[in-house]
Amino acid sequence: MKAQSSERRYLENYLGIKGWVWGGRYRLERYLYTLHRISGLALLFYFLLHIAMNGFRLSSGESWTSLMDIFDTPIVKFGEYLVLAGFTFHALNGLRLILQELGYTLGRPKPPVYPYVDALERRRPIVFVMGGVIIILLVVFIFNFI
Amino acid sequence: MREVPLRLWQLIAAAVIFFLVGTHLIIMHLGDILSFFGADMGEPTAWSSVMERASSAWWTVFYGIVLAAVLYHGFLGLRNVISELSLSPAAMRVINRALIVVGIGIFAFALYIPIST
Ligand code: HEM
Repeated sequence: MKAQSSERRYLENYLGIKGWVWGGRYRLERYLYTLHRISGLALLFYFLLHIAMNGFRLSSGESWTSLMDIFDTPIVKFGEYLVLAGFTFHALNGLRLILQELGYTLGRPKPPVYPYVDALERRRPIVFVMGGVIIILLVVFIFNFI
Repeated sequence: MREVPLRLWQLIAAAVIFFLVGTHLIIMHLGDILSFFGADMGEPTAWSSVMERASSAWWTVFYGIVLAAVLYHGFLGLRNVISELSLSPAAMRVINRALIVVGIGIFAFALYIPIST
């Protein structure tokens, strides 16, 4: 029983990071999951940067104010907008995943009667509503940055 | 580690982040939209505003909760991504411990900022 020997008890992830992009017949929800992962990691990176930046407050008020002056450029403003966009997507998609995981959006089970509608298709309207809300919010947020 | 409670707490932390970081973002980054609705927050990144918040116990508690929730949620998420790389159990144990130590270190440093300024 070599396969059960102590050093091989964990499962091999055959697709690895390539599987985030392509692993066969992925549907819309699978790509939303990849985007959720990328936005989550990007937000974590930004969060750590944000704490480091706030560390400037420890030296003096002047160093804080000069840092804020340096940040007052269109490129940084655009970066801030991207962070806000990433957060908005991650938050609303995360809310969808939480409701789904707790069973609220699954609907009643149905017998498999032709023409078949799979569970993903039945929940697709929720994805479209979420997408619509995200787009509206991102358009509204633009007004804060121009 | 027992995965189910860890995961449940990750979702609870997400709900906390939703409201608290949402509030933070609206106050700090969406001032123009707020003033459009008649709520003028002034210049939130001005040194005087920063000091005003730092001297308030409410804001310190608020930021303490935000920090704990985001660090827990984010680091558990990072661990989740790393755990899919099929590392050995021994390597995963090292990573688990490293994430806990680094997470607590960052929490302590970040909370020290408003407390000491
Ligand atoms: C509104 C607030 C948030 C909500 C509702 C939320 C929700 C979620 C949910 C439900 C998951 C698990 C996805 C799954 O495994 O099915 C998740 C994963 C994750 N989140 Fe968040 N999150 C929020 C904010 C944040 C923030 C601020 C960060 C960054 C510090 C972050 C970083 C991550 C990371 C790195 C993952 C792991 C991604 C993965 O396993 O693929 N999240 N989030």
